[in-house]
Amino acid sequence: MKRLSDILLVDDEPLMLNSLKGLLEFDYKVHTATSGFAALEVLRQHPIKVVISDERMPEMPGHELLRQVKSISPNTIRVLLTGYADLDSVMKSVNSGEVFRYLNKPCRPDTLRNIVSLGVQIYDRMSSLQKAVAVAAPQVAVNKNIATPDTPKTLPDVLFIGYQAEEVLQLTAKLRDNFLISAAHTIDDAMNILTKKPISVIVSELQLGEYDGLDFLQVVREEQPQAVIIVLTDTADVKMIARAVNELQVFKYMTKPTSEAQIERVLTDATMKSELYQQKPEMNLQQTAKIVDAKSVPTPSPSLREQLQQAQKQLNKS
Amino acid sequence: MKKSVSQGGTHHHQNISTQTTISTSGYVELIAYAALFLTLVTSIFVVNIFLSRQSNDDAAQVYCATRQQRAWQKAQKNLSQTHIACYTQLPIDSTVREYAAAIRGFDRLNDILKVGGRLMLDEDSVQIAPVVETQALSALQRLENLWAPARKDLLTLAASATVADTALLERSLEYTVRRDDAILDASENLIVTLQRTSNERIGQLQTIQVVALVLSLMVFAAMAIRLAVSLRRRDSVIRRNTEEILQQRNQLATEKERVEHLLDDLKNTQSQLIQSEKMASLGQMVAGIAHEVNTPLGFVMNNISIVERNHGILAAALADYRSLDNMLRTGALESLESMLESIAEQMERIEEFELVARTQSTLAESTIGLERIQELITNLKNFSRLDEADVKSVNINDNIDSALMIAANIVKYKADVMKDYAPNLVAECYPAQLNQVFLNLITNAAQAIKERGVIAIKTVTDQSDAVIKISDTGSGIAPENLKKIFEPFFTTKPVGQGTGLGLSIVYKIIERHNGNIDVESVVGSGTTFTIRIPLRQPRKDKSLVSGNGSTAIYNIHG
Repeated sequence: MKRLSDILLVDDEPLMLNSLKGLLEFDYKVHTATSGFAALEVLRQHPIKVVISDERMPEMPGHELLRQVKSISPNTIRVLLTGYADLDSVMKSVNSGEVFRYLNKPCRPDTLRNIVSLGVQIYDRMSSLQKAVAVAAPQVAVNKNIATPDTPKTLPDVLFIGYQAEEVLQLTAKLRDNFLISAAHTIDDAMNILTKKPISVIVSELQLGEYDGLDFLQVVREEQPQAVIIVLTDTADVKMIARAVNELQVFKYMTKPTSEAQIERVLTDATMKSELYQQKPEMNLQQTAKIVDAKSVPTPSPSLREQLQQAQKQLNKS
Repeated sequence: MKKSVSQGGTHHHQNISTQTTISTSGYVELIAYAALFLTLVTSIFVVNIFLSRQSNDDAAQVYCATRQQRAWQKAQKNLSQTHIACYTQLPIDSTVREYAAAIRGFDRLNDILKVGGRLMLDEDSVQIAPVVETQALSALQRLENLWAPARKDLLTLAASATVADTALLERSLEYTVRRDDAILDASENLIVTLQRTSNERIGQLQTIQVVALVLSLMVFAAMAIRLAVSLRRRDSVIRRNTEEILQQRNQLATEKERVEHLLDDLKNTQSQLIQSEKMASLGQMVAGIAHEVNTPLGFVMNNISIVERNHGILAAALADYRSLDNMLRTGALESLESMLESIAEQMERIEEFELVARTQSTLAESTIGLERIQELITNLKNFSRLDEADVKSVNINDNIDSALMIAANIVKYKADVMKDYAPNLVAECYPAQLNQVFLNLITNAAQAIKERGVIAIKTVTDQSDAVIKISDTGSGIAPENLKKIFEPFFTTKPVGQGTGLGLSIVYKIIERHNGNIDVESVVGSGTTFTIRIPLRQPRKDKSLVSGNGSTAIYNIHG
């Protein structure tokens, strides 16, 4: 008999835990915990592949639990389940917990089963690829050499989309030494830049003229899977954040105004993440999810895709 | 706004003082002009009187001198007649007498001219002033010089009344004859001189009069001009002031309008705020309810899915069992072994997961979930009490529990609730409003707690009052804020997070219940709100005419 995958459910409501467990127990080895501390204990003792946590719990809220899960067991796929849309905690869970999916309560049993299944598959794929990489040790060494500061390394490319030129210029002055910053005010500008060179980090507004920023970023993601996407916008809305996480797997969702220091810090983290994606593409959840289950990742809008392809054609002609 | 008003006031004040200065100086000037004018007119009169008296004197002197001349002529004529009569033996008495009277008159008139005196003129007596003018004096002196050598003789002759002394007569006559022309000339000269002096004086008088007239006219004109100027200035000041007053009145009118607008806006804003406070608490309630309903709803949905799946497994097992039963009855045993294996497999699964017992417990749990939802709905209905606008006797403890359930999503993660209820505490109240009070205070208590704490709720009956104490172990309220917390719009929450109306509405509601609310707080250790309301509300005055409208009118500040 095959060994069942370990998953962990966390909710302060025992009846809810029972029902979730009932739904999943045929296919998984289900662990449950009624508090964050108990959950961390379970996580240390079992190879948990997917953790699904409620946000609102006494003592330790869900986003804090997921943040700690991330540091204890980085490969564990983290899903946040919450019934009460609290913007602040959602932002925190996205930005500090790097949540794989954000689910609204009450969540349909099918959706839950699909997410868990997808999560387990991604975990398995990531782990197997990591093992393969570990076997091919020399390659790792080469990668490490590239990363060492002694060797002159090229600055990571950062693309700002949809901001005023002055705003970006100000930032460029501060961040010139560590990043190669380019700015695109419109989608067309952004397309042109994206077809020319690989970008490490994309910082984007969500209002991009007539197009929905999330749709556009999906197209970008298709073309440049290594790019780490950061959303920096005025509007923080729980639905938007949920979409940004679920469809785009954004790295950070930030609201204006923010400080230069914070941008620099986030860009540094994002650059590291992008390097990781280049070296270990299996760590890129979005890509892995796409490989594992094409349906789980929404296909970008066709018109935007055509636009990108046209831009590429024109570039090839010239 | 206040500033601008005070500026206007100062401005106005300055104007008044300027005006006062202008009018005072105007009066002073006017008085000076009037005094000057009066002085001039008076002096003209005085000079006029003086001069006309002088010319009167002059006329009297001229008259006097003329009389003197005539007296001389008369004396000379009578003397020569006397002389002729003397020699012709004619009676001489009358001529001598006339001579004597004339010559005496001449001498007296001379004296009068020299030193002044009284002269009889018909019935009147005329006062003659002595001659003082140099020219007239010298003319008089000349006449006297001519007269003086013969004076004694001529007067002696006149005094004798007879012509006894012919030598004297001869001598006198000779003298008069010889000097007649000279004396007449001198007398003429005196008269002419006096006349000229008089004329000069009249000329002078006229000149002075003309000059004075001109001067007074000038003063009058100056005064008139000055008056006109100052009147015009005053007019312009008055006009300006009037304009200013009108302008200020207009300004006031616009200001008033503006203030009224502001007041309207404020009223609107206030009602909007009250509305938004209501919406905010409604939103909070809805969010709380949604969360509270979501959890049982979620697991009931999951459970239905589980039961569905289990039902499928159990139904399949039952179908297999029926097939087996059929096989055994009909004796078609060729696939018996595989059937038994299948059934065993299914039974293994059913037993492994205790599907029969678990299905039952799942259903039982679902029932719990549905009951919880039902309870929530009941509480919600109790809480809102939309159908109960009037005073009702309700169990206060139940109402607090309803509010606690509504606030559960906030309270649950912040605090443990400790209840200490007086059994069956029934009081008359507006239940929906009182619930709002409880919800507000409980929510505040939970929000005051930073990490985790305790909310203690105690109800007691104190004589004819119900007393409800809601305490928390939260951050407490600073003493300077404590007295302001019931004021509308007072809030320590950031802008946009709370209208600052919650506690002011609580205050109003308790006031409407004829009760009172107190707060005690220690920063860092917690806050206690104590509500006291009468168990029975006073009967409302049902009459239409009187009644103080205690239920309809309430003041936020109390």
